[in-house]
Order: sequence, then structure tokens, then C-alpha cells
Amino acid sequence: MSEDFTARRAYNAAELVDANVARGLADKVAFIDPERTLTYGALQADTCRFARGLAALGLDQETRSITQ
Amino acid sequence: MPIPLNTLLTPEQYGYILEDSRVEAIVVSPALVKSVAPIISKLTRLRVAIVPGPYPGRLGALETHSFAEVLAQGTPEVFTAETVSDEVAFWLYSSGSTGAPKGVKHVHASLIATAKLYGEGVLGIQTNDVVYSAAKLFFAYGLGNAMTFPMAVGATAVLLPDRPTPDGVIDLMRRHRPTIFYGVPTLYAALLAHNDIGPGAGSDRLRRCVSAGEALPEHLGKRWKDVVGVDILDGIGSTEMLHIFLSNRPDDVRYGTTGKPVPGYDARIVGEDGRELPAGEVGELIVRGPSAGEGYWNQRAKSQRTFVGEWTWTGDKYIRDADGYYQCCGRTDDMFKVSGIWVSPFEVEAALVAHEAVLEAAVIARTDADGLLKPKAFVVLKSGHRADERLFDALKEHVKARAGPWKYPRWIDVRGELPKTATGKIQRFKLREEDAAAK
Repeated sequence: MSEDFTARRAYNAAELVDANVARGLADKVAFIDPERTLTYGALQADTCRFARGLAALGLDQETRSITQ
Repeated sequence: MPIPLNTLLTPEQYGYILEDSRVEAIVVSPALVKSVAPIISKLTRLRVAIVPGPYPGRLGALETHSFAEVLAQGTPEVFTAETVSDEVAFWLYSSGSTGAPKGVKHVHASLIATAKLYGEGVLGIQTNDVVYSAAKLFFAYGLGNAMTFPMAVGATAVLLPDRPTPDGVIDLMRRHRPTIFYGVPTLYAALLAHNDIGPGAGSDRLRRCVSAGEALPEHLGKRWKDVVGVDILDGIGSTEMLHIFLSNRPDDVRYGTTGKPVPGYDARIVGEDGRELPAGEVGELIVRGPSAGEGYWNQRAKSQRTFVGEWTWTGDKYIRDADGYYQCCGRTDDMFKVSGIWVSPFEVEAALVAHEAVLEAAVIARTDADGLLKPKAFVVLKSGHRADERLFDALKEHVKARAGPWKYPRWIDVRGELPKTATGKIQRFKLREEDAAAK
């Protein structure tokens, strides 16, 4: 295996969202549930909104939160 | 730091995890508010609740917001927090097939490692795939299946909030026509027993099926291939390793085995002293790879026993054959000796479910009148079969012929259903407790 996944580097797992928009897939559907469909572009915008919204509530990096 | 939680837990279990993790905020579906409401007042660190849908009213003393309101407070310009690949990104609580759940800490780089090694390397997932995972996103298995793998290649995931009943799954397969389906053995068995099962299980585009959670019995894989026309790739992963590290491959399927190590992972079978065992000997499976957790939260002794340097101890008993295929023998805690020979409950169960009358089976050790351990079977029968002595005798003979004469169940208990975790793993420890209490 040529790729070393454990090499220490600047990296955020949010890349999983951003890389799709960067390669031109903003309009492609990422998720479908019974209520709606969400494109990669909308997912990126909403995750950024949500992150800023959490920060406004005093919930920053390192704060633990539960989703269920 | 998000911690996705199983939506089927009891208020007591939520209380344990919320206290153990010391969460400050909770994002909770309206349907689950009633499960957490009774325990909120006992949690001193919990400060904020966020609920999708209309504003639900204040939850206890918590600062409560609707999801839409939190979104509206933010702006959509792209920004990413500066983090390092090695730092913890999220936790997953182990489902606790035995004992209290443990929080496994996972780092940022682990998700993409599972997608590259298993998602792309074994499954061959591509941008135009549409995936459906019956295992939900809060499980390590479901998280990789329906979030990491599709997102790593820009594919699409179909999500179903309901419990995946055979009717619901077949309906979804017809409607969304997924190309990749991920299930667990009990669901594959239930689907095969469904009247409408046929090619593609309802999807004319189905090209890959995956099974994990517990070992897939050989006959189930073969029947699925016959009826549905697509192989099931059986693999084993864990909450600690984040996803599958040992698996069959599309071009190399051997039913009744878990296949071989996923390239990028190393596996060994070791004795109690930690020394590697030769092929043909049963020992504990240990694994090394880039997606191992950083450790358990606030569980030093358990972390040291499980995350040993680069190697993670799985707690699963395995045997490797001469061709290098790994075969599951059950959890370390589930194995027992009969007449001095190790018996894997899985082996006896696989023999039982290969009988036409049996839908599901679980095997435990029970002490006989002489104080010796012997197998006891709990079975769920298929409809149309009667539980009588003739059937019991037939099942015993069936196991003797298939698994070995000393392995047949001395007692057979017919049940309407078996206790399972939310992932569909049979909870043998519950049957052991019940059995011990009944004596």
C-alpha cells in the first residue's frame, strides 16, 4: 500500500464534504431520505451554517455533543 | 466532537453515555425527546439541546433551540477548522454485547483510510453508485457504508429512518434501485424467507452486497447468490477498528469464511500468550491498520488490553486454513469446551440453520447433570414447522453429521425470537443469564 494514512499532517475529515464540491459535484445528490434530497453543495453550505451556529451558542472545537 | 448514538437505547443507557461522555450539547430527534427527558435533570454538564422541526418547548432546564434556528444563525461561506490528522474527530460507543458501552475515540484520518482501503479497495465503490445500508449511521459499520464510502467518491446514499423490516427493505430496493446493499446475516435470512425475494432483491442495478456484524453462515450466502444473483461479501469490522479489516472480495468469495485481510491491514491469530499460531489452530484475532481507535474514553485498563501498540485485540476467536482464509469461531467469551475440545457456538448454529425447519439459532454452554458443559440450542422455527420430539431428534442428527458428533445440542429450546443487539448480533450472554437463572 503506497499511501500512508497515518502520516501526521494538517487534515480535517470535513474534506469528505469539501472535496466533492471542489471537483464539480456540488449539484450531485449526496443523501436521500423520505423527506428530502440533499446535494453535496447544500450539504457543504448547511454544515458550515451549523458549525457557525454552534459556535454562536458557545459550542466550539473540543466541545462534546451527542446526535441521535 | 460529535458522538452519534443508537436511537434504540433505553433512558438508562442514554443516561449512562451522556454522563460518561460529559456532553455539553445534545441534538435529538423529536421522536426521541421522550427517551432523554427523564434523565436530563440528572446531567450537570449538559447545557444545550437542539431539536429538528418546530421549536419543541424547553427541555428541562436546557437552553433549547430548533435545528433551523441554529442553521439560520450561521452563514454558508466555506470554512474548515484547522485540525491535524492525528487528533480525535469523533467518538463511537461500542454496542456493548457484554458489559457497559465504551466510548471509542477516533481520529480525523481514520474515516478516509476506511474508504480508500475497504470502500474503494474491496467494494470498488464509484461516483455513480447508489448505496443503501440497513445498518444505520450511528454504527461504525453503517457510518462507513452510508457516509464515508459514498462521500469519499461523490456517490449517493439512501437513508431510511425506520427499522429495516424485510417489507421496508424490498420496497426501498424497488423504489431507489441501489447498486450496493449492506445488511447483516439475520436480515439476509429474513429477506430470503420473504415471498417477494428475487433477482436483485428488487433492484435491477444491484451489483454488490455486504454482510458484517456477525459471521454469515455458508448456506445463507449460497442461497442469496442463487436467488438474488449477487454474491454477499462477508467481512468483519469493529467499533474499535472503525470498519471492515478482514473480508471476502468480489473476485474471491469463499462462503463460510471471512476471507482474507483487506490490503492495508495485517491480521494474526494468537494464543493467550500473544504468540502467533500456525494455520489450523484456534486463537484470538488481532489486527493492525490505519483506522484503529485512539483508545477508550476514561477506561485505562480496557484500553491497554485492547489497543496494544499497533495491534488491536478483537475479542473474536478465529482459525486460518491452509489457503489463508479466516474463519470465525465466535466471541472469545462464547467459546466453550466439550469433552476437552473447543466448540464454537457459531459452528453449531450454522449447522442448525442449514436445516430446512430452522430460521435462526443461538447456542450456549449449559452444565449437565454430571457438571459437564454441553451445547444448548435456542431456535426460531420457520412457519409451518412443528416443535416436537421428532424434529428435535432430526436436528440433533443433522448437527452430528455436519459439525461433529460431540457438538450436537443436548437441549433444544424453541423461541419466537432471539435477543439481539440493534445491529442484529445475537446476545448469547443474555441467553446464558436466562438459562442460569432458570436452573
